[in-house]
Amino acid sequence: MAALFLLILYCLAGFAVVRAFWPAPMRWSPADPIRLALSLPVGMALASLVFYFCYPSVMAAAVFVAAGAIIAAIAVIRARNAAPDRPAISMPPPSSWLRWSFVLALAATICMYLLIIYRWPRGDWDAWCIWNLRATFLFHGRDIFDPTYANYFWSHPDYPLLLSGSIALLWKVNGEIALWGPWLLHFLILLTALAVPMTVLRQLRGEAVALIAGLILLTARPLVAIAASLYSDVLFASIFAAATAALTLANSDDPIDANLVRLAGFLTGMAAWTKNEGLLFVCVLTAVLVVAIRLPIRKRISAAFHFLAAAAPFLAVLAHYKRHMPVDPEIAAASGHFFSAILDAGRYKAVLTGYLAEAIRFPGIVLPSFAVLALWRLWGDFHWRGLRGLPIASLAVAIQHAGYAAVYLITPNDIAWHIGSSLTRLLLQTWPAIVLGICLIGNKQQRSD
Amino acid sequence: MSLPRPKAAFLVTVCSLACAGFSLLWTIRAFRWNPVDPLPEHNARFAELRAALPQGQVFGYIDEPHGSAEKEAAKFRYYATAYGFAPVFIERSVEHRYLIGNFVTSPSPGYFEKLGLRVQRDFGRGVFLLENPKFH
Repeated sequence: MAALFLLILYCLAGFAVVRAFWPAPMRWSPADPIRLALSLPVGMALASLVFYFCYPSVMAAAVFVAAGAIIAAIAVIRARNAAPDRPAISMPPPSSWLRWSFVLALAATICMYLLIIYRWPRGDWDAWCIWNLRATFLFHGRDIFDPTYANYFWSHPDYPLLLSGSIALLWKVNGEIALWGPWLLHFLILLTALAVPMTVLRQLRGEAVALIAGLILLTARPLVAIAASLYSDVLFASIFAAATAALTLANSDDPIDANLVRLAGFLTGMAAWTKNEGLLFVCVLTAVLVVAIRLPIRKRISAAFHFLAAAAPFLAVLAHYKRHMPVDPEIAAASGHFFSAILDAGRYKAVLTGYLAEAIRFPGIVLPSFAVLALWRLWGDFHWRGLRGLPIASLAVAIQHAGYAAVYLITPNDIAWHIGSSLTRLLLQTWPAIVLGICLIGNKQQRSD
Repeated sequence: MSLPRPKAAFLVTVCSLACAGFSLLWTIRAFRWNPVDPLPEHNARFAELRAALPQGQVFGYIDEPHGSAEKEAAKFRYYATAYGFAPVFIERSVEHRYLIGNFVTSPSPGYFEKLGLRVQRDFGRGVFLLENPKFH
């Protein structure tokens, strides 16, 4: 029961953090559904940070509550002078069959999630031999920097602690390790991955587009399969989409909303504290900000400074953590054959064919391509102004995948095995952002985005 | 501003629902293809050993020699053992005073002695607590 209460506190504290960054008047505001959608991962990030600083003290939960209360007070103070949110775009309500179709697809997804969890309650390999194994060590108060972790290189002990830390804190409050903790957490994360793009699209494009986006998202079987495998990729995907969406929203405001730029920075820092791919994402989104935001060049640099300053707390903690953890032997092995790998044409071919094969195999990828055509050709009046929202999401996804492709090129593992065992998850990490980008195309806008 | 045209929206929705239905069917069918969660059965073999484990933070681990065909299965057994014994560390090495032996088939007589190890206790079902006298 206490753990359930803590889970609710994750959401409340997360909501307070988002409102502290991106304030609005005290009453319920038009953009609050977006803030609510961001609340769970943000709350988890705050909890894992507190847990890291307090570790192994049992007081972590109390400190988390205190930190949440202070941040809520800051949010209230900021709310006093906050300008109201711009209202969501005015559109006639979607037809009821569209709503019911979404409800049906969501029900099928929930059934899938429950079936997979029922069959494999400890999740797939990476869940129990990486994330939940680490959470178990943390739950038992094992030294966080124990050098013995080096012998568990297969468990990637250098992976950041957002997920494992927030699960361990749940278990601490629960008093024992309980499998239902990760089940519930990952289910809510799955809903977050849906809610982030949907709430942003509801704000910018109306409810009908948001529902269509939800349907397209749910067509990708890996979304629910990997969420139910209790992996961290869906969490990373929702944070990736959230940071991209915050920057897209900032870019859609005139003048640019600096609060949203800072929120995007904070979310990007969270991504780095979730998975190693997040470090790449920090570089990617900073570059996208500098290149694509609608500001004079000098102001772009200033915006990038604000962005990175908001990401800094997570990057500092990550630097401290990584400094004490053993370096992944794969990194050392990759640097050993770097030059021979990048000069090998066969590796480029392997990466390219791997991506093409996965793009066909990734369930749902064919459908969205078809959906784009349908949206573009048949759906409303396409207008070039609709593309303004696109560059942030599409650039972020494209550069992130260029980075992944570069890692595949220099991987010390068998390249075919490496691509085969991870590319679905890497595509999934960007899936909600891809759908967000797709659905921002087209439609004349009443607003200046 | 025009609403999504019914034809396109309908097309996308029908395809999405078909995908969702297909995914659900795929999940149900996957029940037949894939084995049940093998972790509980694997780790249940160690229940007695876990209770009898001597004081310590790090233990060694040994299993039967395996060819490349059994590499993945052996890897699974080691990872599952490490998961089952957490927060105690299980290192795949004989360079520890106490070791956990995890065998699918019974080791041949004298197998441990050849490696310089002593059997502390045989728990059955291929599970052993071993001792390396070098660290006595």
